[in-house]
Amino acid sequence: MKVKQMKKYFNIIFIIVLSYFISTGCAFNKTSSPDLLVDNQQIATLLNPETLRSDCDTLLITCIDYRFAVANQGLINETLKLKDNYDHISIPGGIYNLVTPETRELLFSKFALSVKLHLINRVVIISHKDCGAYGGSATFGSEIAENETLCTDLRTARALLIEKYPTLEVNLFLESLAKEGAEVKVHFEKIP
Amino acid sequence: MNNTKKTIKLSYTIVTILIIITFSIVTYKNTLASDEAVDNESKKTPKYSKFFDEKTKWCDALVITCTDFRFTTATQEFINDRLGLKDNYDYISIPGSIRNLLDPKTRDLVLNTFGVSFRLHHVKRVVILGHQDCTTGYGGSKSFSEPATEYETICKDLKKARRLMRLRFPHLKVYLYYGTVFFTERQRIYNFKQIL
Repeated sequence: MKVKQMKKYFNIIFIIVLSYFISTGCAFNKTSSPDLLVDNQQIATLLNPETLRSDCDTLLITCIDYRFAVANQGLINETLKLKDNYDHISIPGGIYNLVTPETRELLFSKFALSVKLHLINRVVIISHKDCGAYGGSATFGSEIAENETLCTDLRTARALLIEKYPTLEVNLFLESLAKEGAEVKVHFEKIP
Repeated sequence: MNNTKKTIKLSYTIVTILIIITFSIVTYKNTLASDEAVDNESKKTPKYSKFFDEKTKWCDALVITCTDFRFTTATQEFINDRLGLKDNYDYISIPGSIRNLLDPKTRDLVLNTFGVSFRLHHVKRVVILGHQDCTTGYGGSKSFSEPATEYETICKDLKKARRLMRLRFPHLKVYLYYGTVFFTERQRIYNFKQIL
């Protein structure tokens, strides 16, 4: 008789504990990020019939870094006034892939598509400090060394591009993060 | 009758015990947390405090899209405003979007480059955008007989890409979108459709 009773109690205890753990688990689980449930978004952009063409002027090459993504868009859209007029290639490390010989061929094959299909005549290359592909700022030792390396890499990239497509105009930019109070701003520097 | 009373009593006691346990755990955790905060303030090692000052938040999403100039502005607006990911995403754009992922020659390279984003920025989800009339990846709309087949092909490729990503990075959420564009007299209208 006693054993039976114990079994009954055990069942009840088990159910209570289970429901308790489930409810607390649900209440404390805040790790999952909210879902993106955006469907059928319509975006309209105005057209200027005079400048409407089926090719574009510029090829933009950047790194993927999230700290600089929106700043890059600001620079190219507003400062350089190239809105809707550029191909944007963005790959981890940006120009680092062009400077290292292993991936150079592949990258040139991708550039060739832009040059051939969209008839670009200008390339804008934006490189940034503290890039993960180089291993971050720490690997350079000092800020001056980092600056030097990035600038030389940018210039090598320009030389390589001009060697392959002599008619291209190549602009180089180097960007860095600067703290102004609580805000972090992005500074652009044009490399001659 | 006696039995039911007993069970009720027992359940009551269990519930109270559980409540007490949670309460104690929560308070204990709080005290631990406050202890840590005090510790941080009192003895900050300069090496790591700088790191954590700079890396207060990680990146949320990785966006993979095509380089095409007709879609850049619309894509930016879509990601920044409609998806609400502004300043919070890695932006990878390669010619042909995920076409490179499906090509066996470049697959390893592409997955490795994506891996950079996961390793360094700890992204939690991936948004992949494909689009209509992709000249660099598929040879444009001309190479398809009708829009429906184009849509189906690109959808299939997107889904295949999602499967590959899940194999390599199983903890990620992958969202797929297909962009179309049509012209009216004065404007271009873009439509981004989610593929489930």
